[in-house]
Amino acid sequence: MNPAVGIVDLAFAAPSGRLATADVETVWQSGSAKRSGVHERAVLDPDADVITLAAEAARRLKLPSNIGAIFFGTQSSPDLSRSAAAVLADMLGIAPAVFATDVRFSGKSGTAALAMAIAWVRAGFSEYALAVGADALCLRAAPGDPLEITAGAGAACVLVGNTNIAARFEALASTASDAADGFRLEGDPYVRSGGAGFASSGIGDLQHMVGAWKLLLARLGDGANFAAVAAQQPDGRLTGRLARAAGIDAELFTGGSVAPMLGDLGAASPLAALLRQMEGRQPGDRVGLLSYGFGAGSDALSFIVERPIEAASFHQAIERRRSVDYPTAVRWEGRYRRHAHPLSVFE
Amino acid sequence: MSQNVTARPVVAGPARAWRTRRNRYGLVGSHCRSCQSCSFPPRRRCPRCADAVQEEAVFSGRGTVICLAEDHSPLAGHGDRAPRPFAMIRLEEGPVLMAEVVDAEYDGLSPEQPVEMVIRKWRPEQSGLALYGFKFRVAS
Amino acid sequence: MTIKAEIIGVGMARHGYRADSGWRDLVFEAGSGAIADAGIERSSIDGGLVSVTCPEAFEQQNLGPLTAEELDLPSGPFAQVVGACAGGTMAFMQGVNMIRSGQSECVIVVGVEKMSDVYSVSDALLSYPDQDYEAPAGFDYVDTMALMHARYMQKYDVAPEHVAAFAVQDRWYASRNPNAIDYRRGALGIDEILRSGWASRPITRAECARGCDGAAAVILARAGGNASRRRAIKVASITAATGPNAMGTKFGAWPGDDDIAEAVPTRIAAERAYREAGITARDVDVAQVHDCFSVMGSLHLEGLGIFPRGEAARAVASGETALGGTCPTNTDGGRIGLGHPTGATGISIVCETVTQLRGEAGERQVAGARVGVAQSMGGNNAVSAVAVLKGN
Repeated sequence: MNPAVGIVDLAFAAPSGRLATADVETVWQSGSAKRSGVHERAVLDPDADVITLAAEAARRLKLPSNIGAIFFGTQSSPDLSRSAAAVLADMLGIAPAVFATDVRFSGKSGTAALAMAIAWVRAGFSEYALAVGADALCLRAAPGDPLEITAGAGAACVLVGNTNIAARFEALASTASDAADGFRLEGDPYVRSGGAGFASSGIGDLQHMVGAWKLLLARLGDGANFAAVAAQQPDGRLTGRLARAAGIDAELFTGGSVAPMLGDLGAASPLAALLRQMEGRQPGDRVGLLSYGFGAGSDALSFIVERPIEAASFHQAIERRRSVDYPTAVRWEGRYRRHAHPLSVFE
Repeated sequence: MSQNVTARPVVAGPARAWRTRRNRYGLVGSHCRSCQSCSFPPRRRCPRCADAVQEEAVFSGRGTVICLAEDHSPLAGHGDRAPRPFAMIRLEEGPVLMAEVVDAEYDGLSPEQPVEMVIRKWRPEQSGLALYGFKFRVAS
Repeated sequence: MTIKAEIIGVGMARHGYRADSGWRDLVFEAGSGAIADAGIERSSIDGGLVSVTCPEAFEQQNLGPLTAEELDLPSGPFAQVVGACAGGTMAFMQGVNMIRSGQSECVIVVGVEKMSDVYSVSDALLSYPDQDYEAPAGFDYVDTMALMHARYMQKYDVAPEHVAAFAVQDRWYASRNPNAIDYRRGALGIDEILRSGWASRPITRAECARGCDGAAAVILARAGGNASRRRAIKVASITAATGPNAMGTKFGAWPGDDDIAEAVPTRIAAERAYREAGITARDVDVAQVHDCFSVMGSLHLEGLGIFPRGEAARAVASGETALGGTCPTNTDGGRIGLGHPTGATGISIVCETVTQLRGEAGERQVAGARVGVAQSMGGNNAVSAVAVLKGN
């Protein structure tokens, strides 16, 4: 009999800036803003990155003193060799006696980190572990690219433990294969898609997500009913396509909507949706978590609620919004590279 | 996100900033066991009672605004974000420090407003590494 | 018997943006001017000091021997002094001590700066504010002093117009000073200042000193020595005082509620300097104060005790620092109007005081000036140096 392990607490942080997707269209006029289902997306402050966002989210949690591991899931770490988890450990006062590692699998980096944190605590390596899903995808979006319209930034931190559990871990199933529906090669600052073939056939997202979901259902056995499902949201449309393809009631996704007002949060996306879905839950509810990372893979997890979690940090992130225009977003997100000192003299 | 085209060699490595990382991340200062006064940055000797025995203190990050200004002439490494409001802030434990106020406009801020600490990036180090440190925003 | 020091010669290099002049040219201009003014031979100078804030601008260190060489001086003690923007007055103080100690009989003190050689003056001076928690967070002096400006207005109910008046008065004097950047420029109005755009709100662009090129030099000698003494000016006292550097640490550092709106090191240095010189603030006929930004001029006037706490800006706005006012101030145009070659500033204020006490200031002359005070500040009121000079 495996020891009980699960989510003790969960918090979210996003930058305050919001860019209307229609504003981006005034420049590029691709028409994809309307189709994306995203009305506005988060704009990263120039003095922020995934580490500062993760720190902001983590500071909302009541962190115990004996966190034995930090798994930092991201595809937009500021350092390509150093671990963001190690920096976060010092920021949270957890350093130095802690296991720290970054976890990378595009959009499913956060659920991968969560799966590892669960396994870590379950294996008895420590009573608590912290899983982070954080991304600043807006930095990985090329100018004029459809991704620039939807790519936002945010961080979710999950405290995993074996006591005082809010959502007890029940089962996990995953899929992974070599399908380059998205990629970013060494030296390339921008994510590229694998093209319309992958996008319209669903060989990447739908196949892997439906595959993982079906494996999860098989593990749970007959009669496993879900009260809510938190899914990856690169845009406002995937959950609708997923509902049809996986045979999941579309209503189960509604309470976890995050993309229309924040954009594609990458690794933070499914965890932010999970935080929303944990609000107002009843003990005994089964909650699903379904992620997707291009390249390609998906994690499907189920949890049984023991007590609800307040989504205060999510609501505050929404309330703190400040509109910014496209020129401001270009400047803040460094879409034009410029010199530290002007090359000509300002009068 | 800038290329510095210069022949000047990097003179400062990461070690100096590493030494103050906990002070910048956690608002770690010092506390005097004799007279209870708190200091930031940490002091070896209490500025109030001169006692040399000081212990480490981690401040909550909550404070109030004393007075405000707004920078319109950004230095290298900060050029993407003029104007930036900043303030003298009194922490609830007593020490006063100077810091930027983020996610806010100058006109929306006022003396005595409660603020809370967040971690953001300061200027990049000479090596290019990000330097993280405290800023403040309006308390939620 | 104690040795007293007096100033027997002064020299200035014109302040401005002088791309065709290197630091050596400026040193030569001011230094040889001072030597000629003193009427002495180079060979009688047996010690020297040079003050520079930012030698990185021209990438040369160890300026003591190089300055001695540039001025063809005999071999002797010659050191480089650094004290932020008070460096010139700190060098002056060390020169006075070289005389008083008997080590030297005749000392030249030079200050020089080549700010126009750098791309950004703010970035060049960035190693002076606190390097752990202020400069890396993106703050330079215009920011720290913007908070002082805001706090001063808040504490003492002072209007922006009152603070800005300091720059108006600086322009009046500077327009009459051939060495000043603002020589022959028309009067500056309050409205023009307040509309000049923010540097760091509430400080406007027109309320900022301009870091520029320039040099200043004085020759010190023993009182009662060999050289001609017709125009010698006595150094009645010279001292300096330090205070906390980081802005936050100024709160609670002093008894009472002094914080960033009071120039406490100036007050401490002035009290000692006045005591040693046997004067009070009321005896001061002409003052040079450190107005790197307009509010600082008022803060230092209050530190010097010339106006009560919280009242200096209003007094300046009422004309009390003009010729004929209670205490004409910054009669060379100040840092704002003359210019602020930071290493030279602390010496140029001595040069101007000497010129006033000799009665040679022409249109800018304070009638009957006999006691002059020269004050300069380094850092955010981290150090303040005050000299009291007396004419004959």
